[in-house]
Amino acid sequence: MKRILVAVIFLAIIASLFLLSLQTGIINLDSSLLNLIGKRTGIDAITVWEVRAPRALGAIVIGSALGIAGVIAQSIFRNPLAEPTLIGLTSGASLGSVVAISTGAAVYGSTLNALFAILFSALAGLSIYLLAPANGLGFLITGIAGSAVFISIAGLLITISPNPGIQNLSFWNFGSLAMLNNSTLKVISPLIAIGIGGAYFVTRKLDIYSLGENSAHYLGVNSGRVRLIAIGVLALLVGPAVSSVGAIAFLGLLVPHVVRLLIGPSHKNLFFFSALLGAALLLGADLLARAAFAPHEIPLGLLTSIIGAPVLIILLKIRVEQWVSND
Amino acid sequence: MGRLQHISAYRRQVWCDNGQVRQRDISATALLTIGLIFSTQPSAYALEIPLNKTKLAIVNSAEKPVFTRVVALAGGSAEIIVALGYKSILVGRDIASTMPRLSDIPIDTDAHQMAVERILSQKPDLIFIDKNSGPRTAIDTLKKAGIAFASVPDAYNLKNIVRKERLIARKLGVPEAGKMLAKKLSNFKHSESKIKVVFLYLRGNSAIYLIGGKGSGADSIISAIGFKDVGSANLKQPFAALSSEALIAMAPDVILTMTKGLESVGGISGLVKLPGVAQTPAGENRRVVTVDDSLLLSFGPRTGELLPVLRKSILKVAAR
Repeated sequence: MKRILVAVIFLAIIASLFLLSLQTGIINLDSSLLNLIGKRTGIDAITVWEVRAPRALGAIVIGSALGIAGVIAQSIFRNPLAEPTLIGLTSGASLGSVVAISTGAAVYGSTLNALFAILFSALAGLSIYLLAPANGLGFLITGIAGSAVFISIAGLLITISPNPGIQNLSFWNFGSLAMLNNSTLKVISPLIAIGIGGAYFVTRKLDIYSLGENSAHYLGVNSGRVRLIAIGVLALLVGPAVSSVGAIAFLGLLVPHVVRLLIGPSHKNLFFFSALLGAALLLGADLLARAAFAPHEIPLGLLTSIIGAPVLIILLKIRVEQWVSND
Repeated sequence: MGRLQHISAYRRQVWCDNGQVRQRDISATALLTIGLIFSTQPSAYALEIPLNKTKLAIVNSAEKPVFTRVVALAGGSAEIIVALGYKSILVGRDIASTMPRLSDIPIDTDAHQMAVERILSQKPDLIFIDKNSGPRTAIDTLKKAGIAFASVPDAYNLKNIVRKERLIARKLGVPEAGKMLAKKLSNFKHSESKIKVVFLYLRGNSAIYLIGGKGSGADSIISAIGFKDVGSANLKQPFAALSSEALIAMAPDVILTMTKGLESVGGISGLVKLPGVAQTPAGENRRVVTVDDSLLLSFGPRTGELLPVLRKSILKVAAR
């Protein structure tokens, strides 16, 4: 009952934020949203359907993806601080995108660009997973170090690339939904949908998996294979997002923790509610990014980092004390 | 590596003929320019040509432009439209157009990306872009709104400035204004001089000291005013690291730098401590001319105004 109530509240928040997104901006709409339905010409219709709608829909798609990615990352690595940004997947995706654009292999917003991001994200996740020491803190530190390497290589490529189409470096560090339009949204949505499908499959194994590797083994779950699949799924969730809007840090860290507080730890519920909360948070953050310093807009990734980093510090403090006392 | 990066970033920003301009680099120029506007300290001994030394002369052809609401995002295009006499049709500009006269025109970029909704709100009928304008997705969206686009090539020498001015004028439907403006640059007459000038690119804070060679941008300006650019005569590449032997062999009579650049090495007294400088006729006699950084690099309508002023300044210090 409580879950249904929470779900309804989330859906209502998402719907209102979505409508608010369509109406918020520099241009004051002369006609109401209802009148604009079906219209394709005129400044109001172009503004709503070509600028604001893809942004708001993108926030929902990408927010859900990042929320789910947070759940998967935390569960699969049995580490409550694991998050795509902290374990190198985000910066791997950034690097993939930068490689594609700087070499001229792909342009921003293309399917190939998203595929590069997915591939590099998966390779990054895999290499950090294989290189990291077994304990939780070691894994995170390896991830952060790996991220620094990926971002540096991306920065180097941007600096020496003769391709003027390469985007501003800050975009890959602090993402923004400003560049999202309908064609880009059409490219990333199916890829993210595959990722969400894969994530649903993985979460069904995760409840068993979180009992511990030995128990999982006896219940017929191959932990090594689940981890590999999970890294692929994470790359499908993170790669298209990063290739189109840049890095949005900490959303995946924040969301599962808040959801656990609200509805408890079962992964199937976590999956669904993390998607909802991720969508709501990203929609809200995007509105704030557009409104806070209007008519200028700040990169959304700045906001998520400003809010997310202190949360990480608090969580880390609790967790490290546990890790240290366990040793 | 840091040094190389800096050089390449700088070259992309302003000088390089192959035009690898990176928008984020332009922000450095913008900051520099803002800094310059507020800094009034002249460099000791060097003859300085500040930003306000040249006035933008505006032509008047009394033609009626075919576009009435224009956003100028291509580098230098806003300045050209003002010089053509049509500031009144300008509704938006890029952040790199720093001319004080443009300060009341809204900037249509955020973090160097086109701000789609802000541009839409200005209801433009034409947008000037260059190959650094983007993202492509923003251009696609604005095209859907029925806005016309015109692509403008980069200009890093005098010939290209003229071409760029006339192209923008033609696109606006004011070709006569374009011809009038272009004449100002091509009409500049001078006699050839034997005075040898070298352009030094200095960034003391980053320990970057370079000699300008062929394609540095300064080469086209120095030769346009009738002096001998010993840098480009000896260097095939746009820039080379300052080496004492190379500089002494060039034996420049006058050193040309940018005002901020000279300041960054501590003025003339710092400049003559750089390897080889004191052993050149220019260094020995403290013959240095500095030009406001953004003015020297503007490669637009102000360049035509700069040429006679710069020629006079170089002749003046050469007589020291």
